[in-house]
This record gives sequence, C-alpha cells and structure tokens, in this order.
Amino acid sequence: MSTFGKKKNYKKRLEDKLNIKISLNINGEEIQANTSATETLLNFLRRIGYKDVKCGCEEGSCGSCLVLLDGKATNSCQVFAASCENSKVITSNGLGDTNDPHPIQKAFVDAGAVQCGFCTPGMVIATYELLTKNMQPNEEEIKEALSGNLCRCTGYVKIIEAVKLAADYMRNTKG
Amino acid sequence: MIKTNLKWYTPENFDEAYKLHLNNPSIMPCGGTTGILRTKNFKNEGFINLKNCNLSYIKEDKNSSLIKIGALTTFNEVIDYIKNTSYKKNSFLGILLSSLSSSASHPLRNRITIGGSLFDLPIWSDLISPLFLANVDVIYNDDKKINLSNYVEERKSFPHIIKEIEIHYDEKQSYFTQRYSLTNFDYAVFRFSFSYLLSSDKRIKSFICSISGTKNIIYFDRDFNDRFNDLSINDEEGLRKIIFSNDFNFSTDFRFDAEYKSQVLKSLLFDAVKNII
Ligand SMILES: Cc1cc2nc3c(=O)[nH]c(=O)nc-3n(C[C@H](O)[C@H](O)[C@H](O)COP(=O)(O)OP(=O)(O)OC[C@H]3O[C@@H](n4cnc5c(N)ncnc54)[C@H](O)[C@@H]3O)c2cc1C
Ligand code: FES
Ligand code: FES
Repeated sequence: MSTFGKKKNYKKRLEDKLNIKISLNINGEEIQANTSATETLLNFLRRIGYKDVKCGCEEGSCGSCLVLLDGKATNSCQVFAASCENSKVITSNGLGDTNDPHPIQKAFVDAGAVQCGFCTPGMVIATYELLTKNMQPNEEEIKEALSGNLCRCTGYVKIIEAVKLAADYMRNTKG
Repeated sequence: MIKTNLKWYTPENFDEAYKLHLNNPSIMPCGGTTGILRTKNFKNEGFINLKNCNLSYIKEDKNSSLIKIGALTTFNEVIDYIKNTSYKKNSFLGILLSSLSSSASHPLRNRITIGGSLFDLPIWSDLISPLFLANVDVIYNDDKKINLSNYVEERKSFPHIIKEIEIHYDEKQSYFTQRYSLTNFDYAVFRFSFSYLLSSDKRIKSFICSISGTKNIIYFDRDFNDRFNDLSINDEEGLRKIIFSNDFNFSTDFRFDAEYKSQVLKSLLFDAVKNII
C-alpha cells in the first residue's frame, strides 16, 4: 500500500474511534467536536486546529502543552479530552495574537525571551496564571511558577526578566 | 493507543460512582489522570469522572488536630490551604506543605489529587512519607474506614473509591522532612520524615520515622523507631549506631544501586537527626 493509502486508512480508523461528542469553550468560542475515550486534550486541541499548543514530551515534563483549563495552568497531555465536557480552555493564542498581543506576549518579545519559540506558548500560560494571582512576584515565585516549563534555547534568564516586565506592563495597564 | 470500546461515566454523586465501580471494577475512577496517562496501557473498560461527587474539600478541626481532605483535592489546593493558615514550619501541616510543594511542577500539582496519589502510590511519592507520621484513616465507598498502613498493603486487592482521608496529627510533636533527588524537578529518589518530642533532660521521646522510595515504597518500622527513645541528644555515637546498622531495604533501579541509596539516606538522616533535634 502506498504511504498515502496508509495515511488515509489511519485517518479513517481514527475517525471511527472519535465516537464521543464533547462541548467546551475554547478561547471564548463554544466548540462541539468528537474525541475518543483516550485522546488527550493536547492531541484533541492540535487535531482541531489549535496548533499553538505545542507537543513536546507528552509525559508532563516539558510544559510546552500548557493551557488554562478552567483557569488553572494544566499540562494538556495529562488530561483526557473526554473529561473536559463544559470546561473552559484558553490557549496562548486565546490571550492575544500578533495583531493584538497580550502584555505577557509583548513582554516576552521585548525582553528577548523568545528564540526558537517552541516553549513560549507554555511559558506565557504559566506566567498568566502566576500574574493573575500575584501581580508582584519575586524571583523565587517566578521560578516556582515556571518549574514545569523547559526551554532548550534561552537559559531562562531572559524568560525571568520577561515575567518581571510582564508584571510591570500588567500593573500599568490596570492602573 | 486509541481504543473504541472504552466508555466515560460521569455519575451524579459519590454513591453512584462507587457502586458503578463495585459492579464493574474495570471501570476505573479518575483523579488528576497523571498516573493513568503515564502508562497509557488501557486494559480497563471505562473511566469514571468524579467531578460531580463533591470530593474537593479540606475540613479542619483545630481543637482536635484533625484534618479531612477530599479525594479529588489537588496538591496545589492543599498547599494553598496550608499557606493560608498560621502553620509552623516544624508542625505536621508545615512538613505536608513543604513535601507537596517539592513534588512534580506547579501545573502538575494543579492536577495530582490526594486520592489518585494514594492509590497510585509511585515510589517517588511526596505524599506518603509525611502521612505515616500521623494517624491516618482512608475513608472509601460507603464510609468504610481503613488505616493508612493497611491501605497501602491491601489497596489493589479490593474494589473501592477513596472518598477522603482523615489525618489526626499530634500538635505536641516536632516534625521534619527531607527529599533526595538529583534536581529540584526530578522525581524523589527517597524522602524521609520524622517527628519527635524532647524530655526535660534532653532525651528523645516518641520518635517516629518513615522513608519513602524503598523496595516496598514505604519503610516504617516500630522497632527502629523505638531504638531512638530515651537516647540523649548528645549521644552522637548511639545515634550513629542506630542509623548505620539498620537495613532500610532499598532496591536497585536503572539509576542507583540499592547500596548507594542506603548510604546516602543514612548520612542525610544522621545529619538531620543530629542537627535538628
Ligand atoms: C512528570 C511527572 C512528575 C511527577 N512527579 C511527582 C513527584 O515528584 N512527587 C509526587 O508525589 N508525584 C509526582 N507525580 C505524580 C505521580 O506520579 C502520579 O501521577 C500521581 O500521584 C497520580 O495522581 P492522580 O490524581 O493524577 O491519579 P490518576 O492518574 O487519576 O489515578 C491513578 C490511579 O489511582 C486511581 N484513583 C484515582 N482516584 C481514585 C480514588 N479517589 N479512589 C481510588 N482510586 C483512585 C485510578 O483509577 C488510577 O488507577 C508526577 C507525575 C508526572 C506526570
Ligand atoms: S507535552 Fe505536555 S508536558 Fe511535555
Ligand atoms: S525558546 Fe526555544 S525552547 Fe525556549
């Protein structure tokens, strides 16, 4: 069988198994879609187009798949999509995009905290959860909030600076 | 692996949930699903989502040093709760806070639950060692009760869903816990915790020690604990003899030899008891 045939076959098998319908709110939009009993929220989100949620380790170790699930930073690879009925999911793009970036996203760019960018959506989500609870975190608190996010490029120094800058931006926006 | 025949159930209350599981133990309850998704080896017939069962709570009765924690309560919920109390660092709640805070990562602690963690009981568990210093009952199904050490041994032999744990701690004891891992984010190689009282003539009383990460996941030996009783805090040689002559029963794994773990534990435990008490 050609590679194309195999792919088509896989797609068909997958579609057969997507037999659970779920409704949830993703980035403010009500979504109804099918999933399988064992599909993770990460694979579900990427399959239906939310490619800003990155797939790194699929073991809960790297943080690249972080989303806000009902307000809490969550490794989407550690959650079954089928358990998310009626949940509210926010991905990094749900906070802001290139045209209208969230202050956290702007701070990451301004601080030079983005190199390849693979870890950035997860970092932004972890920062968002931290800053909604604590607008003036110290360095220890920042490190603790980002304890589940790995970055292979930056060495973290600029990421920590970005979080401090984001806190400044958010305080100023609020004030 | 994608399977078609698995079903999801979302019972309306806890009664429905545990009855569903008793009728068919192959339908497994879900906590934070971090343990279930570690293996991805789905041999079960379905999952129970416990979200409607009201199992996320912490109730404390300060007068009787009793704390009840619902099975679906996450590590971060326990951490936030304790941070908002006037706990002392060397109290039971103080070491529970520091233990749970060093587990996994912040977002994982938003998921990992008390019930899932107790049943799963990974060898790197940061929950179990402090719990062994208190009097803990596990409440399951129709309010049945089992004490923690029996639960640890028997948990896989009977179908059940944990409802809550009841922790009775001793406010007079002083508590200490320490974790050994390669990096902060890494799994614990082992964790030891101990509690004690001091008599007026500076002798150790009521010493209790537990070590997780051993061959049987937890090492807890009353005879070992009793050997500390009446030991003068200045008797360094006596202390060394008790700790270094003991076999803590570690096993070799892909990272460390049992003997290496045992030697590191003995050195750290000796230093901790010597310096803390
Ligand atoms: C990358 C990573 C790092 C980690 N590091 C640590 C660490 O450093 N320290 C630490 O302590 N933990 C750590 N953990 C968590 C640990 O390994 C387990 O995944 C966790 O304890 C399981 O809890 P859960 O709530 O997710 O359980 P689940 O995955 O939901 O369930 C696990 C098992 O318990 C059963 N179960 C769930 N709830 C109940 C209930 N109420 N009654 C009866 N049975 C139930 C399930 O059926 C299943 O068999 C880590 C996890 C990951 C993924
Ligand atoms: S992909 Fe989820 S934590 Fe790495
Ligand atoms: S910027 Fe490349 S992994 Fe973080």
